[in-house]
Order: sequence, then structure tokens, then C-alpha cells
Amino acid sequence: MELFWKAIAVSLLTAILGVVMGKQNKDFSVVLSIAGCVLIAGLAAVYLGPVVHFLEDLERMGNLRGDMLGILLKAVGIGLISEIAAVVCADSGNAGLGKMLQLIGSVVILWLSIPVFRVLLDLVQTILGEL
Amino acid sequence: MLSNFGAVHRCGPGNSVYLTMEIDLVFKIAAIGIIVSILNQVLTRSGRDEQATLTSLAGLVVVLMMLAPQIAELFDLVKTLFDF
Repeated sequence: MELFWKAIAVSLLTAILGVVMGKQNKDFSVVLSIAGCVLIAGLAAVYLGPVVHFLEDLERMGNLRGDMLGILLKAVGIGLISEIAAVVCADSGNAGLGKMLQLIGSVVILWLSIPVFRVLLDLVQTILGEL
Repeated sequence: MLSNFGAVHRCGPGNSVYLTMEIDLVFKIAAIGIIVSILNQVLTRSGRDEQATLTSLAGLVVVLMMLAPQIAELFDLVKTLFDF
């Protein structure tokens, strides 16, 4: 829980420094914002590690197919990275670029989940065939 | 203490990533930004606009070179954490 307070402190500090510097030099303000985002995303990953490990434990307990959880985890990772990049782009005044990043993140997640949809389709076909 | 953000992330059995990010990075970037701003003002007032632009550019490159390894580290962390 200590890291959470640290993240809040870092974000406030970065915001204040960014506002102070933004008056003089906008470029450095953007770089500072990126540094703050990277730091806080790293902190978020500290809490995500045990969650991923728990999901892997659940997968092992339930004898699920390993590749399905892998796809889900990849989708979460892509979503996280594309969201961070999109927020940084929006902060630097390129909101359109950020939206495009979100779009490509969504499309890649959709592309990644094709095997899941295929398995679902096979399942539906099997169920319908048994009727 | 905000001085050290070093953290260990466990990503499955036998799979660990070490992330060493420090708040010093934010302070360093802010300090370089302030110094470059002052230099920029001084050079602009003394009529050396080209040198002011180059100083600003050099400062930006230095800061980006400091930040790039951290971004790469974050990407590596996410790749390892989510089994890429």
C-alpha cells in the first residue's frame, strides 16, 4: 500500500514541476510528463505481478488451456501500453495521435483474440451437432 | 522515502524482472529543463537566437537519452509480466 501513496506523491510532484516548467519550456514539460507516467506505470506493475501469478494458479487449478490465458494477458498488456502512450500523446497536444494509438491497440487485441473466437465457434458447432 | 523505487516483480515461477526506477529521474529532468530555460533566455536576450535553439535542442536530446532506457525497461517489464 506504501507504493500507492508514493505514486500519488510522484504524480503531484510531476504535475507541479510540469506546470512550473510549462511556462518556460513546453518540450521539457512533455518529457517530464512521460517520465512520471513511466514511473507510475512501473509502480502499477508491482501490484499487477501477484494478480497475474494468481491467474496462473487459477489456470493450473482448473486445468484450463494455457494459450487462452496467455492471450488474455497479452491483451491486458497491449491495452496498458497503448493507453499510456495515448495519454502522453494527448498531454502533449496530439489528441488525434492518441486516439489512433487506442484504435491500433484495440485492433491488435481483436486480432489476438481470433483463436479464442475460433474455439468458441468450434464449441458452438459441437453443441449444435450434438442436438 | 521517495528516493528509491526499486522493485522486484514476480511473473510466474522462476520468472522475475527487476525494475529500478527512481524519483531522481523526474528531478534531473526538471533541473535540466530549468537550466536550459535560463540559458535560452540569456542567449535570446543577447541576440543569439540560433545558439538558443541549439541549446534547447541539446537539452531535449540529453533528457530523451535519459528517459529512453526507462521506457525500454517499462516495455520489457510489461512484456515479461504479460507473457509476450
